[in-house]
Amino acid sequence: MSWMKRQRLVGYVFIAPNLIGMTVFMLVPALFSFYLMFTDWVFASGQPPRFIGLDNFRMMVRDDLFVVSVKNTLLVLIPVPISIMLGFLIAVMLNNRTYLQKTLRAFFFAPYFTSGIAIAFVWMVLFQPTNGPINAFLRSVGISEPPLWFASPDTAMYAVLIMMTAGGIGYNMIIYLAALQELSSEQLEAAKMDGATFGQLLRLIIFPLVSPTTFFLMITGFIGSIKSFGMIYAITQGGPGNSTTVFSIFAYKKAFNFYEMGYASAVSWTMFLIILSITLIQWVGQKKWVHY
Amino acid sequence: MRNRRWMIAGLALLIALPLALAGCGGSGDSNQMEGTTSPGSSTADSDPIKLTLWGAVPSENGPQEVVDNWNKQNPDIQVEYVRFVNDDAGNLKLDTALISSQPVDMYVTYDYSLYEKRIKAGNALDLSKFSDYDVDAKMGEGAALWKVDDKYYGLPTQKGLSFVWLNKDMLDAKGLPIPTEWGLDEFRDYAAKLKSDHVWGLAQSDYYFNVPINGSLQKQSLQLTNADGTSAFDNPLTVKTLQVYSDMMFTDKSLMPHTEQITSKPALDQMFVKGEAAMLFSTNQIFRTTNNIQEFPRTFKVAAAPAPKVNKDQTDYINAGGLGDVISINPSTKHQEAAWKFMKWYADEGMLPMAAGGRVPSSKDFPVDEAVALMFKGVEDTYDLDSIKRVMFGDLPLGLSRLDRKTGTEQQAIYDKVFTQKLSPEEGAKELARVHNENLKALSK
Repeated sequence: MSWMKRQRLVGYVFIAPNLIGMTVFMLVPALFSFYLMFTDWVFASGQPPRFIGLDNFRMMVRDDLFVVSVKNTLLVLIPVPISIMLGFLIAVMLNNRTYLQKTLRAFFFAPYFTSGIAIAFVWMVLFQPTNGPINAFLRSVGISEPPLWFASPDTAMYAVLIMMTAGGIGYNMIIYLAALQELSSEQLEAAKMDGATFGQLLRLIIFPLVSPTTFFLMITGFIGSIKSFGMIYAITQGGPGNSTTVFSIFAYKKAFNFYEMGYASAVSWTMFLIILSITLIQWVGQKKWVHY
Repeated sequence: MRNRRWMIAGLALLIALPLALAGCGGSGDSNQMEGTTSPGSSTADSDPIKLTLWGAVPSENGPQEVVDNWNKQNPDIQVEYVRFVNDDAGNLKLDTALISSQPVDMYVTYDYSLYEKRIKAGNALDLSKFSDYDVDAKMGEGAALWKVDDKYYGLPTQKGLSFVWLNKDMLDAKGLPIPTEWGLDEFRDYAAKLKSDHVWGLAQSDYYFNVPINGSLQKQSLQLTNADGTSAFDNPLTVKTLQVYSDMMFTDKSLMPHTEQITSKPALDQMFVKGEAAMLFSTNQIFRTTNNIQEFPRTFKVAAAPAPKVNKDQTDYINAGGLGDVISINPSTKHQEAAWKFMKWYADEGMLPMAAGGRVPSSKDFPVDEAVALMFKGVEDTYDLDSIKRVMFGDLPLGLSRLDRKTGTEQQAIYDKVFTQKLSPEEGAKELARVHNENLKALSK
């Protein structure tokens, strides 16, 4: 065996454990769910899957809760650009010399390395309508009937959006900090000597230079948001009154509350197609604003 | 040639490694091989039979003591208790274990629709093959609810019900007697009188407003339907129930708003023993907390009242309760006789340690006095025993609805909307019926 072939073989051996894991735990179930979406199959019913063609999709478009979940899933995309913007601004501030620079970095990054469920429960306490600190503050400034946050179908989604925005800032900040430290100081110095203000520096020099990072964060952020599940489920289980039911919660309920695996598979593959479409749109659109 | 040999050796190694690891993982859990049928398994004659019992009661609340007692008396049949949480995720875990030949020899089901589903999936053994135990004679007429196609697939082992737990000291302070029969109007009145700045008049388990609603419909049909097979939810009693609860939340403010409760997730049993709620509408499970005065010290006496009817003079009201904790045998266990022996023992005498957690055995052969004594052992003085015994061991008409699980879950979203005032009680009743009718239609296909 030539040296090159042996190297290749060693390479395959090294990736094999991961590849086997991916195949067994992700690829095979994904292909199985692809098959299931054309069937009517109730888990643990003792009955085999029954082929029903596209009936699950017909049922889906007539399902009011599916429409609600699409609307809510589109809403959870809103925190992505906001948290990217805030992450960028904080990264710019913390990239310069400031007091307590390292402490502040750790402070903003802390939510990223903390369990999502733990964070969700902190937000649950913060937004508690009667005794929570946020409403206590609002009452102290004269708002006699502050929002009920998670406890009302009218405001629960806003509370989720605030929670998701805050949750994304730390990660975005760290990625931007890494990007900012790679920037050439010469370009910034030159711009300053030409009389650029801080705002102009940010808008015309720094932001375009870190645009590949912004693109990366947009792609991963949108994918993560569409898939968001744990934090929302921990607090509201999609309620009250289905007001926070997003795609993944809808699919989860169909699959694991009602064991309707065929229908849940159809919802999951629809979610995949939406993620793919949004990612492709971003990929095509990047040519206009990402500078490598 | 040499390349091929390398490749084959590499692949063999890759396949062998996970298998070896899986083998190591399985070595500590030999029950799979010894209890549930597994091709190629064998047990030496001298080895004790090992059985696994899945149940939802925390092991420290009785089940561990039960299996310890059994294991001491029966060295040839050793039982291990595995706890699952009785929620959607926990039941999914059990169902997955049942269909994937994991070690489940016996399991407890707490919900009729899941019980029926497990039977239809072939995961519960038909107990008519055992002729030495007359379930109807032992458990009484309430057992028949658990018959499917006129056969038992499980033993209903305990008698439980929903009732109202009362802080007797607070009642006494307001000069209120312990109710023996009441409707929602009286219930509301009590809650309003008992509430104060830091005390809710009433706390109740999530979605418990369905108890009076369902209880008013059960007499006509366990499926909560009209004679023509359509949903019976849209009726004046449902509207009244929704209205009274809405008034308690938003007019009297004697009950924590429902959606605030489900999103804040307060520990209701602890609220009650801390004196933060004067009344608690729940089940006999609360004994776990009220009996544990070391961890949850309290100074007041606990009394009990039956669940409120919608109208006090209602004659057709059925209280939510009856026989439950149904133990079934997994048909794939190869020790069906041993499992049956354990189940009979458990139902007739073995479940005694569960009494401290409030579980009343349903078998007539059970020494009930002994169970009651254990239930209040060392804490007798902290209860108004007359009222507790009147409610728990009285002659209230009990029943469990057979509302399908999907309707029950989907109706929760409607209750959310009613108790956030997005729907009026009248609209809520209509919506409850609409969801029910849709599922009835789907089920009839």
